[in-house]
Amino acid sequence: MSQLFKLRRFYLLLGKHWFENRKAYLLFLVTIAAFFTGWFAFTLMIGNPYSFGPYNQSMLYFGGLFIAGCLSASLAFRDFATKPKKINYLVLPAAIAEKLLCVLFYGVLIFFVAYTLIFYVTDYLALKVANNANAAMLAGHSEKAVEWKQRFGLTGDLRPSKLINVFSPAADTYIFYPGDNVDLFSAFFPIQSAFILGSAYFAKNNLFKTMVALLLLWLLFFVVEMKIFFPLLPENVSVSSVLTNATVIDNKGNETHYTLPFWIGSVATFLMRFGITPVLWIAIYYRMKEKEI
Amino acid sequence: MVCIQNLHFSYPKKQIFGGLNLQIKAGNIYGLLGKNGTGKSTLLSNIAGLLFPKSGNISVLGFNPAKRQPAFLQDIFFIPEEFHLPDVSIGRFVKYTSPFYRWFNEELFAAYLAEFQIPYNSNLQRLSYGQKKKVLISFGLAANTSLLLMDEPTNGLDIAGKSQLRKIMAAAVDEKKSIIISSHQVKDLENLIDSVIIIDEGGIVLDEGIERIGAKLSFKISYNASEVAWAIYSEPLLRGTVVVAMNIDNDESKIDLELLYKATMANPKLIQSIFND
Repeated sequence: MSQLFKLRRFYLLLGKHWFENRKAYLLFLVTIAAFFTGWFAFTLMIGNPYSFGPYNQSMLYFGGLFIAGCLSASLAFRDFATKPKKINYLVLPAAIAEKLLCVLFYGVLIFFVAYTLIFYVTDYLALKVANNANAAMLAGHSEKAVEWKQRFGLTGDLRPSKLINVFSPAADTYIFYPGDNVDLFSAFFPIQSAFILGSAYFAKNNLFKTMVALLLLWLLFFVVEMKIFFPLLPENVSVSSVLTNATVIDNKGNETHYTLPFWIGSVATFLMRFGITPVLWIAIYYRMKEKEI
Repeated sequence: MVCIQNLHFSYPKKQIFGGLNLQIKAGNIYGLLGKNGTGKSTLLSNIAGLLFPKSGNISVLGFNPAKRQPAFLQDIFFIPEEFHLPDVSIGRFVKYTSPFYRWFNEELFAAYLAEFQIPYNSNLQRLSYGQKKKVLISFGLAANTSLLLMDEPTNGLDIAGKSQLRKIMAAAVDEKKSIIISSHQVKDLENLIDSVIIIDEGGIVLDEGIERIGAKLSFKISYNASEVAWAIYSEPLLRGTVVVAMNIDNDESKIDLELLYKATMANPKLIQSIFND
């Protein structure tokens, strides 16, 4: 068992990894903080009371999460980019599982926590400043408030912006549809893991190559759906829900609805949300195992 | 300690080994010699588990290197020709790396550094290439692993560094450890190794201990034309001719590794037949 995983060795690896990479990690986090600060400063300069609305905050959080997450993931195995670093990494006396968990600990867990913290700290401060700066306008009596109301066709009072909860499926914070934050998180982690896998597979230009690979997979999915899946179905069938519901319209125009048992949809949804990421992590593990210099 | 049987290895457009067999025993310092591109580094990488054989078996300390198990990795140390050291001080490097090596001896490490005249409080990135190499060699020796693999360790070392390395390494090996040093600078290995392995064209051409080489071959300067004519290998000098000949008279001569290498490459079958007797 100690050849597969040993807690003490894992702690040592975490310490070594942090110590050798702390400057790069801190620089990356400072860049994210600088980006948020710059964005909020720009928004404050515009002075639009809607700029700090829940939608914009959600867009910024999730947009940044996807971009920064994929960028950081593409650097997860940057040691594989050069032969000396690759040798150094591969001969370090730690199990492959420990090395993988170390990458996931910093690349996924710490990144996510740090990114969310940075977002909330900068967002909280920006909202404070914005609400103070717009206090008179928010009271609804200033000329500027009247101007804004006219410009945006508002009838009610302007309200101070509130900090969003990205983990809550609240109706007013969605980007595409109510409760989409769960699906966005469900999409983020597999995509981030795909970029980590890309970083393990491609020694150079892995960000670009992974994007191309994902695009090709996406196209393949549509080709399979259009050329193989749909031709298998009888004519006049419309699939109303991806996995569970279908409607058949006969020649007389009568509709028959077919619904698979609820549990099948639930299991499929669960697997799509939580199954892809571990599968990709396992793929990374095997890629690390077969890695040569 | 290391047992390689019928090793086949190739890169996409070049075959390197076609059935190589080799045994490495504990308590020796092996010199791995060969032309550029014959596979010295490839062999070391296969032993370290950094490259996987296409076929054949490699057993190192009872492990399959390709599995890269922690117990295996903590008992070997590989000093590659091109290496990476992090941007930290030597002390921090030791603090965060040495715990992975069970038998690492920090006092020994400090002593080796002192021998190489490198201050312990230096930052690794502020050292020259040669100094970094000395730090890595010191670390590798202080790790006290059963097997130490060194790929061209003398590259980048100054003259003083090479003699310091010889001094340190002579004291570092014991009956439980083995060191394999690959080099194309044959002269650098003189007075350092006690076994010679010469590889060429995908196989081992010579694998002998220094004592046996001394017993079988003589290295001398000759002024005798018939002796030169009968030599296995000869090279004219300003005065006389240096020859490698069969040691029929049991002479005690100083082994010239460069001449041995040239003689072996010039007459591999003859050399092999001499040692097979």
